Amino acid sequence: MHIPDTFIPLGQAAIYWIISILFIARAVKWARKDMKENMIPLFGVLAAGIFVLQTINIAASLLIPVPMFTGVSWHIVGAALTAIIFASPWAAVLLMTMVLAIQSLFGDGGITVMGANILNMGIIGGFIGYYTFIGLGKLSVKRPVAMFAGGWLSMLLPAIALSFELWLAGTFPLKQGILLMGTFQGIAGIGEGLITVIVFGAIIKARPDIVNEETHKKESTAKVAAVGIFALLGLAVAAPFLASSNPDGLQQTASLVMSNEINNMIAPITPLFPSYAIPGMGEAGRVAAIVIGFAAILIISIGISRVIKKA
Amino acid sequence: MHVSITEMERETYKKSPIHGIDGRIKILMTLAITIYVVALPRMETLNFTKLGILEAYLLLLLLFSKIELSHLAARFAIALPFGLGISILQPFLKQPFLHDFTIMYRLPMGIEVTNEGLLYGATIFLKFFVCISAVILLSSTTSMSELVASARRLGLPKEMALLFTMMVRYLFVFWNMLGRIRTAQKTRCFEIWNRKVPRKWTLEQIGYTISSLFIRSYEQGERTYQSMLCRGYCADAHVYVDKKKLHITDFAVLAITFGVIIITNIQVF
Repeated sequence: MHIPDTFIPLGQAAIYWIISILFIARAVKWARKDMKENMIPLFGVLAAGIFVLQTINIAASLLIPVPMFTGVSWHIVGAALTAIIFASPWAAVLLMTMVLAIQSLFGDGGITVMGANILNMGIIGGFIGYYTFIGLGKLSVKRPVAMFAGGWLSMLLPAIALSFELWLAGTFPLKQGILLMGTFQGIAGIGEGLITVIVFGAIIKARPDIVNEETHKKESTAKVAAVGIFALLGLAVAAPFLASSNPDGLQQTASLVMSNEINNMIAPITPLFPSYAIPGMGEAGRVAAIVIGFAAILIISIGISRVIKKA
Repeated sequence: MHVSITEMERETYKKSPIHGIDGRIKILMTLAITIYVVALPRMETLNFTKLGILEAYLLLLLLFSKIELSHLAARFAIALPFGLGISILQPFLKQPFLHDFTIMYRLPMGIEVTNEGLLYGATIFLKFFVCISAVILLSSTTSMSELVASARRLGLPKEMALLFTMMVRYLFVFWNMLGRIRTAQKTRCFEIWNRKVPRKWTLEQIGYTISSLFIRSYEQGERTYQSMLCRGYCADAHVYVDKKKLHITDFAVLAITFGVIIITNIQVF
């Protein structure tokens, strides 16, 4: 799922590059300062290993026993895996950046779009994968299950982000893109999740000192919440563009069964945002309505939880 | 089609006029061509001549570089599929940045082929093809260590340079390691397409292969890091890159490349 050159116009590609460079700079600083020692050489060598293990092709028929998929294969990405092992999403950002840079020399991905690819696979994949794992762990979900979920989402959400980038670039329609890439990555994600669990299990047996389990426990809930809110907000902004303009099931049935009554009926309460949109603002209004609603729900739930805590 | 990184590296050690060009010049050429091509307008029939000239120039350089044709074909075959797939779908899609569409053919099931879609699809594919050609020219005539050194000379930050130096140095070690693991698995009749064994078992074996590679590369990293410390490595250390003088031929190649880019913009074409 590497975006090739020319599929994203130069201006947009530059924005993704800027975002990625900020994250890469922080990731380099993490490898230099936040680890116990300056670990830059070690990560350079490890990146070579990650590059090679991405070339291991795994048969798709292992996951879905459909004869159509004979010969189709996928490979693991390892963003969630590396983030979980080193207990930091910055490890994933750093390693994925290196791997993607070398892959672009093979024609996998490209130069102008490398920023977008790093954003999808390294940053979104690493952060979502890691904080899903930590968050579910905090909710006392069993570790393998949390890890599987992290691995799965670290494949699915980048695919959704990629569909959005291609749609913003005007290269591919949004709904078909999400359906196509989401299905493919959703299936490959199952494999990614399973492999993440198996590999983590093997590594913790062989070299328990590599895995930074203490940090897993210490990770603050606020960070998990922040990443979660960021991801949900992203999905909330995305939602209006995906929503069908056709009436939903309930409305459809109602209008079939009692078309006269509906037309004569006067709504008892005028909603704040009719049809989930701020009138006169087009799609921007729908996005704004959802963001406002999302923020309102968030504030209310934080308020309620405070009150309950005090009581 | 499969090209191993060792095969790719072997091509870069050949001797030819193109291989002899300084790595810095080749990186700048690739960047200039890629950025120029990406910046071309989305929909314009004029693009075809511009892209045609650039592609002809790149193919000429590839011809002079003595790279085996079978190797080139394999490189293109690996790089093309995803981009080709998305380009082929374009005539059937309604591009959001366009408003008027002329319908060329109507196919059953309400599928329409539009003139504009076809033009956009062809443009994006050609642009993509030229970019791929430029990257293949760069990576099949410049060895990876030379690429990293050139990038460092062009001003790549020292931490990134160190990371990439370590990475390309060990890429081939781990590539061969994976090869040995695969051979060992083959002698035991392990095959990922084998349906006669439980899927869970196969998946576990793959997982163990990956874990083994991960741990081995981590341990190699530890050993390398420790031996670097023994030799006085510290946070302020950086990769030594010797100064390399650019020759007149290097500047000439860069000038010709920019010349070709400028020529494509002359209105005559």
